[in-house]
Amino acid sequence: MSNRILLLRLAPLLTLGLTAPSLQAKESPHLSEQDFLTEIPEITSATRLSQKLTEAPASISIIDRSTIAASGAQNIPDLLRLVPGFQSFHVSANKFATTYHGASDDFPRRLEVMVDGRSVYLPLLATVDWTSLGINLQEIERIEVVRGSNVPTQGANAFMGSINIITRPPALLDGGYISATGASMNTRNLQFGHAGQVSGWNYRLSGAHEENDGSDLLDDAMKRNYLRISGSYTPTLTETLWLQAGVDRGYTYVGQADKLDEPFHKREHDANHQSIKYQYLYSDSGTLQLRADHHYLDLQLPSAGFAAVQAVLNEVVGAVPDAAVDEFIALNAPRLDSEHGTTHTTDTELQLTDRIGTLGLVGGLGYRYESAESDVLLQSGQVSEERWRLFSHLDWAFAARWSLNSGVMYEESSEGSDALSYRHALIFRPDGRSSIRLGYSISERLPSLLERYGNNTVYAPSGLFGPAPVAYDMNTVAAPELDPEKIETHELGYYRAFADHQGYIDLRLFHERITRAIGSYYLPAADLADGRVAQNANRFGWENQGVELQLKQPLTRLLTAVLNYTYTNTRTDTWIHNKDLAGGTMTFQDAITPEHTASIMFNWAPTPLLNLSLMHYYMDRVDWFEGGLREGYQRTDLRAARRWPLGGGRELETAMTIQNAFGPGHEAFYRYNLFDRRVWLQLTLRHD
Amino acid sequence: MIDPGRGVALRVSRLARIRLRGRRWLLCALALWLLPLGARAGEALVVLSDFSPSYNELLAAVREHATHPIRVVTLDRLKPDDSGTAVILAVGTRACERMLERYLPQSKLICTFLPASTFTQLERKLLPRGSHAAVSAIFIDQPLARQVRLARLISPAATTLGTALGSNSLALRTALEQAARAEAFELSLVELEQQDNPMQRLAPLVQGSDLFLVVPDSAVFNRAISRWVLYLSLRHKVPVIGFSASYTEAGAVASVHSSAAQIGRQSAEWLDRLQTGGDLPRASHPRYFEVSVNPLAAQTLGLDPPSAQWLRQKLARTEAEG
Repeated sequence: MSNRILLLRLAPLLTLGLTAPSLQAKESPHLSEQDFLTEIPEITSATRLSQKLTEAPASISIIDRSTIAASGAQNIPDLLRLVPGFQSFHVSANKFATTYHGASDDFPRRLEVMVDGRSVYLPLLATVDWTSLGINLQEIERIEVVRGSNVPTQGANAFMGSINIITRPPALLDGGYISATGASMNTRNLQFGHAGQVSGWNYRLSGAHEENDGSDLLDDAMKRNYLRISGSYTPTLTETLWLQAGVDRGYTYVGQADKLDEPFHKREHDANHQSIKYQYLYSDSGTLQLRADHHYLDLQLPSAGFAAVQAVLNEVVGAVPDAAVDEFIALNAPRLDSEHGTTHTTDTELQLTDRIGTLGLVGGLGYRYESAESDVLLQSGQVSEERWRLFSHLDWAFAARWSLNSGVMYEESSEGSDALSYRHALIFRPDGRSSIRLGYSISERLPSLLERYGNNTVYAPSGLFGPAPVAYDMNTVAAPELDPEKIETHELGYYRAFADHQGYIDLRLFHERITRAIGSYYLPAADLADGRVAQNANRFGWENQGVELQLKQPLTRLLTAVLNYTYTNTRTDTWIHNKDLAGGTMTFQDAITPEHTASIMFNWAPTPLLNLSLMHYYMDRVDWFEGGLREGYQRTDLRAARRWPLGGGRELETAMTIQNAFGPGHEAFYRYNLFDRRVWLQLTLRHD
Repeated sequence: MIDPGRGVALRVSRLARIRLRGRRWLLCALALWLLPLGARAGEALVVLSDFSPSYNELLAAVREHATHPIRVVTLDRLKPDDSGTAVILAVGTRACERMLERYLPQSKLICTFLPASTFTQLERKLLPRGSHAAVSAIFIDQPLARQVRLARLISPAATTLGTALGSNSLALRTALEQAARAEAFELSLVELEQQDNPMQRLAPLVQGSDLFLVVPDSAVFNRAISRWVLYLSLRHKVPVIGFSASYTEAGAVASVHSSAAQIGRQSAEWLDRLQTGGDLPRASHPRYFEVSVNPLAAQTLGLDPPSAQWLRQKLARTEAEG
């Protein structure tokens, strides 16, 4: 059945959310029991409806502030080690990545990452750049992670799951903090935050200077400064306006640590974002929300200088005259690495949420404009794409303990493709604290700008292979006809909150089949130096099945344990990339995904002022695309923090975190990127 | 002498009696045949506003605790003659409103799981003035005195109790003032209107209070202010006393509330009482209730409140004593 026919059949579902206000316009003149049963907004990432975890159609992990602090994590991907099914890795000392169910290179491209609902996915690189987000960990209120495809709610980028980083609301607290972190890698971080009110607005201002020298083996230092402001204003009882803006500038040295002599190069970044959100409670149960945001990133790598180009040419084609080197530079504008270019994402969205009897509804319409420009990755010039999306979600409590949750997302791209994704979950709640969920979904992921239009050709100067310049090596050619990737998921979930909501168990059995996955396929090109050219194609696929477990259990009133475990069995189709132009295949040594991933955290507060924690992480062997086969590793982190009340609403906190405390160092993603013992000392002064 | 006309009349009369008796037998047989479909003697009718998780939870509790049979219908399946059932339990505001509209004097009607103020309004609107209708109710809301007493137990040294009222809760002002006086609180109160900036109105109120009491109003009022009240509570380190488990989960230090199952249990007890010939109790707040405490919120505000169980028992004991 084509997407369009399916869409017609699902049209009533899509429009339900949009017609809700007219159905609900008449208000009851007096109080009803619903006024007493009003839910205070909880998680919204799974369906956009405010839900309890027992009502959600997907498995969701919440990383709250206390977990963030206790973990001693120094960056956001490190926190995701505490989420079942996720694998986080350091590509180098200052470049991080996270993926769900493995199957990734150093640019994981199948997860949507949002900050307060604003997508920070970069069409230029088809991934997220964690080093230019402009938020420090102390600004995060919680992180909501949807495990498993969440395209029906968040769109194409949420192919394998979604991460929503929710920052501290400006109205939450007055006062601020200043925090200094140092020790390993000659780290010199200074972070600050301040919240207050001015002219009826609640605002929150935060920023940081962060700098380190990188690891001992690699020249992978970084330095950045960022500033962020968010504000909220409530003109009336039923209206709220939020504004956010930020800027993040600095540099990170990037490179591939698969060889010891491979140099790293300084990649400068200049990022900024702006966001506005308006919310109106138009009835007892209805909410209208309008949102618009813009995200910009400019990455600059230095041009390869004369000497570097000459050295490469000498190595590849033998000695060449200086004039040919100059002409080569003029023809190719070579850069020292590929992470270079500019990208914009502008997104607007209208969303309506309501409840009619036993039916919770949300529906909306969104428009996204993406553009990217890079003389390395997109040599044909600037590319852009417009995407429209129409979405709806229903949560129908059709019987005493049963509910049906259905969501659908239709996306249409200006580049000639569309995608239809849907998810249905049947939920049984034997009591108010637990649920058993049977879910089925099919999601489609529209190709990113980079996947569709990435092209890179090396031109040889005149006189080298003929009287005129010729295309010497076409590394990649554009693939405008790419189809959406597809994932089909079956899952069985169980969630139970323990008494007083102090602990829970979350179990997920899953089977997911990914088809039409996009990857490079080599085509013959007789006139090129190596006789071949790579082009993205929908030729690949794999299946995952396994189980995820998250268990939080208070062991005593002062000691809490959190256990995460994932078993994933992956079966890959034969991946024929044709690199040798004779049907060559890729092998993953049966480890495209780590078979076992586990983490455990113990957090103990022996006194109200002392907090101690121990984290242990395990990841099985995995064959990263690009990074290569890495053996399994264990890592233990320790953290101790002591608060010192200073009076007058001020307090000082000292904290020491030792990562990989008991060694030995392990290879992280690349062979020569060693994650050895690291010590962080942090001093924080807070005031009300 | 025999009057032939009288004989004919007698025959006709006997025939008529036979026919009448036959009709009665037929009616009895028909009634017996229809018995499984219609109301059986001693069977109470439970009318649900619709199916929702809360109504279903209440219904399950009624089924569990009632010792007499019940028949359940939702409003959309209600038949005209259902109103004549001897004992009726209307669950939720809409069911109560419909059954009051169709009230028949031979019935005893219990409205349950609806706000006290709503029941009073509906009764006043739909029943004739001075009517002696056998109508009563079990409210969803707690008596204000219970909520204020909980505030006192959470913070024994507090002096100022802050609260905000909207258009639907303004009528509670007097009762609230009395309850606050009884617990030696000084009441600090603002009345919020639709066009008010909630942060500007609530911030000084919360800042000047030792405790903040959230009183149920319309859902839009509750949704609008809940977020801001909880933020301000954290900012000014002022504990919030809520009215639902949801409030406690979201950040109130404690709340007192009755679950649908608890109100269902009380409803079943009232049904049994009526079905065994007992009197209809007076409309009242829930007899069974629970207290929820958010230890994390309490810890954040530097409080160490007693356990939820202790608080519930203490409130129940105080009410029993006085």
